[in-house]
Amino acid sequence: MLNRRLVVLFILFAATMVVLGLRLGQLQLVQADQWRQEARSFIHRHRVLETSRGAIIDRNGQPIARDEPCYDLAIDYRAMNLDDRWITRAARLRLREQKFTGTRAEFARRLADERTAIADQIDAIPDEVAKKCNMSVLQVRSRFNEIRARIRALRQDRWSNKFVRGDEAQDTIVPTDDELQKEVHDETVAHTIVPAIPDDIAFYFRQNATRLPGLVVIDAKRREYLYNDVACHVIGALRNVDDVALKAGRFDLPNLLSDSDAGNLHGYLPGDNMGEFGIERFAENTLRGTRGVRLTELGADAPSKQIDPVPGRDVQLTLDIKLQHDVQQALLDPNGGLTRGQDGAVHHVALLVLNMRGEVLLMISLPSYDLNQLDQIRTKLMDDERDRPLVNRATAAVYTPGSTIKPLIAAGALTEKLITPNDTITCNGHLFPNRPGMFRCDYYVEYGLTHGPLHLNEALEKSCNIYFFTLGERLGLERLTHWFDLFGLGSNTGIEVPEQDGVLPPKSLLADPQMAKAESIFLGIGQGHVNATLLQIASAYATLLRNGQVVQPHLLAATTPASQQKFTLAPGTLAAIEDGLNRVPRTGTARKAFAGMKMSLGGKTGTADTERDVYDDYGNPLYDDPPVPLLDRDGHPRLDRDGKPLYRRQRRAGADAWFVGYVPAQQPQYVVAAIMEFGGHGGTAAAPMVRETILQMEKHGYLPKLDVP
Amino acid sequence: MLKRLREIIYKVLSTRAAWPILICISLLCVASILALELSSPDRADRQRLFITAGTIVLILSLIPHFQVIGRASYVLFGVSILLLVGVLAMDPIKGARRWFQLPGDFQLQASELAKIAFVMAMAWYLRYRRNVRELTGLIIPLMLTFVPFALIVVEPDLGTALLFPLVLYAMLIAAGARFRHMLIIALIAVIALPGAYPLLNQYQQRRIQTVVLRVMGKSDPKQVLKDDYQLHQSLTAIGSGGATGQGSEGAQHIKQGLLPEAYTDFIFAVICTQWGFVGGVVVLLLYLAFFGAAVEIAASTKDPFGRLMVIGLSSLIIFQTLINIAMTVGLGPVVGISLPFLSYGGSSLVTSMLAAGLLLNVSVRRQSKSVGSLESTLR
Repeated sequence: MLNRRLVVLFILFAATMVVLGLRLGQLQLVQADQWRQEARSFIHRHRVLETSRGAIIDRNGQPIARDEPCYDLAIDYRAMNLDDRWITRAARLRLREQKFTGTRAEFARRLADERTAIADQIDAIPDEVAKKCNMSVLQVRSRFNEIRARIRALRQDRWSNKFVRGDEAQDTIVPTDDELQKEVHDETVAHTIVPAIPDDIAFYFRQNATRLPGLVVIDAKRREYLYNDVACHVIGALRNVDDVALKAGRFDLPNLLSDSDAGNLHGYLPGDNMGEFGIERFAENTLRGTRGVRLTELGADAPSKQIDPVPGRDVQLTLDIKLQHDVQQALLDPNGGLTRGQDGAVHHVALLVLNMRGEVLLMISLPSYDLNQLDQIRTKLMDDERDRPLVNRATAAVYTPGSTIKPLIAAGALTEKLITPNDTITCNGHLFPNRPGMFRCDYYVEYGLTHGPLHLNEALEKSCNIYFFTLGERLGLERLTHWFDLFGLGSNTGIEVPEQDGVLPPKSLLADPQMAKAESIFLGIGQGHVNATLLQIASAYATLLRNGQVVQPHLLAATTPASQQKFTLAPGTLAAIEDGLNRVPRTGTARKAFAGMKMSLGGKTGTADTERDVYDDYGNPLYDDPPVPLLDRDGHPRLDRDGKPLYRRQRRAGADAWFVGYVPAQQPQYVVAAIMEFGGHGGTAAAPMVRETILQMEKHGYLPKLDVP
Repeated sequence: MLKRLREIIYKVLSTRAAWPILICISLLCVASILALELSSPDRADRQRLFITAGTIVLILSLIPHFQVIGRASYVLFGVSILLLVGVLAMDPIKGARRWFQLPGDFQLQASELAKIAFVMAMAWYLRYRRNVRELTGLIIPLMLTFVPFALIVVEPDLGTALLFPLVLYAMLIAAGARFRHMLIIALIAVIALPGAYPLLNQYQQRRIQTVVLRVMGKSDPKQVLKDDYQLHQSLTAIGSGGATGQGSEGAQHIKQGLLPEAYTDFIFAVICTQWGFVGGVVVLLLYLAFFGAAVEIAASTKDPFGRLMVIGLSSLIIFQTLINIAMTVGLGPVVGISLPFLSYGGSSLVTSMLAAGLLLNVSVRRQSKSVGSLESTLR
């Protein structure tokens, strides 16, 4: 009876063992291959191999932006997270260095002391770093969090399909962060807190390494802009990758153990740099390298498989950075006064050189800023409503073209057969005989004189308003708009950096024939509803000189520009326009600026009446104009409900100075365009900048050296 | 003294049931050393030390008549309960208060001692009882079990705590309790379980969920939860062993320390990696042979205390084995129960050796019927 019970017990146990045996069979006989595969994936480690960013070089191969070796201040990821095992190891190392001899108990006590000390020292790291590197502790801590995000991103790539991480990491058997981290990125355990620290600070931290456990100075790379602020608007800069780009192209570690998981090595990791603006942004995909990955079996020395990192490719620009540097130097020379307007004050300027193939050789926008300092001054630059230094005034600011539009009007009128070069229009000082107060010629306004009968070339030479009022009236609003559009005004040129569209006359103006007529008269001299960027005007001149062929201006040497024949001028008419423009620097409106120049050139001045706000939205003065209080009828200051004095909403009226020229006059190769905001007369304020540019181009071998030795 | 020891060893070796037990233990200890050489070479040396110590304990446990030990069983049980209370005042190691810190970097797991003391006390209590055939007669054994059970649950060490009612069950079966009654108690326990579930720690709950999900086929190997990390590594190690073991991936997997706790609770996975399906089955058979030998001893022992003690101790070992291996192969929740004779660890090994020693002690003296003949046996 009792023995039978024992047999029952035995059978129960034996039956359970059979179940376990069957399970063993399932795992080891049926699924063996699958688990072997799994083991294979566990004993292999994927390591990310870093890559480098391509350089930006100018048309002559001169480097403008490139990666340079530097010191980064970095922290061991495990130390940063106060990893228990890491701290214990560090404590043991310290005791070993102290040549500790003593009993086990003593050792354990000392070890505990050292551990506490190390943890305290790690806690003090953010303060120390903040103090030495001129940051706030908050900034350092947020950098720590960014590093954590980076690790998480890397880790998820490897583990997301395998383990969903819970929040309550209470249990000892689950892998620690360290264990997981080892899986993916043991090669770069130290993560940058402060990039590109100065040598003396690097030395300081290396000296104090023992006091700051986990903190290391590593060799790294930083982006160096060799010409600081030259062409800063074009070159652009880098900044930390944003969420949008991260979402669009996240780095994904491929699984080299399987053929189906190619990953995304070209993607971004949190903390990566990406182009913020300019060419750095436009050519991001070319410049940015592709990381590599190395598969190593644990315990083995040689990698079992590897995808090599692909360094980013260099990007060549059409700019001549040395030319640009020299021209900018000349512009900024305080003795030269080239950026001073008629009023003697320094104004914002933009200047560019475009060749007939659409290549931009030079693009200056002042004020500029040092790209190497951008991280420190970015906020200041962004808040500067007065100077708006971040705006590229050559492409991303629209201006009233003023008289620079006259050659384009002429081209339109000639082609539409509204006039021939031999026809004359008589300037009486004002357009309508019986209304001397409106539609006047500047010559008449300033000196009370009239031009008399003028041919086209003379009208361009003298920039006669009456002549072009007449052409504007003859063309009418619709044809004017059509011609502006043919020349590319009012739409993007397609250049690789951000630009503004500009403004064309709206269709609504056609509703009222009176209004349309008045508008078309004004448009004849480039006032009214037409706004353009400097680049658009320069490109329009190039189009005119190419006899109607529009070529997309571009900054990348590799770009094959789009080109299109938009119109063809009637035979002989281009010569007439050129004749007029060639007279401008010799005997016309810019004769003073170009006096004594041997290099032959043509061009057109522009003195475009314009208005700009005097205060920004927050009442900060944009110019030095004093505020004008509003007065009531009795002459007392007017007050608002709260009793605060009211001021007049002011806009400052003035004239933007333009000069758009081309050299040489006989066979134009380059269009040189310049604008000075509120500079005054184009011939006085803008033409000297063009003259200086042409002299520099002669110096740099773009033109025969006629004026310079 | 030495002479008597030699005499007893001679007697042990001359009994039929002793050989399978000794052979099983030796083979398991050898397997333990070999598995540790692979997974944690440093610990292999210490394990040799533990095996030596365990062997000495085994031999020493042969000396006194088991009846003498039986008389002391209540005291031993009382002491072990005190230790279980005392251990709760210790600093937690890995989140649980299970160990006393001993000098020289050794630790004592209080519940290990309690397991043996519990079996002996229970055997001593049940030896002449006939009322276990009544339902009411089961109340005191159940209450006696609840004390260590509850103390160990709060350590927390649910796995070890569960051994106590299981061993009680095995002993009650051997003692002659009615299957009907035991079924009722089991049913009550099963019904009460969902009520106890909310009292569990979060990680314990999740482990149970994991097993339920796996049994329901809701989780494929690629989509297991974070809590399954260890188990996943264990299955990987076992599976990569294949039929005959030592797949290079598997060995490397163990060598690189990817299987956590490979030297203690998950040592069976190491063995399966080393010797494959064949090795795993042989180990299972060794344990079964061990229990078979114990049943043989129990069946031929007339003394009810000895008989109950043999069944209690051997089923203690088998229950540990089954729970541990079920956990290792993914059929049970992950609990902190070591594998007798195989897992690294002094407390565990010495306890198992002590249990084996007591089995042999009974097997040598199984002919003696009562305490009265104690002196004659010793002479």
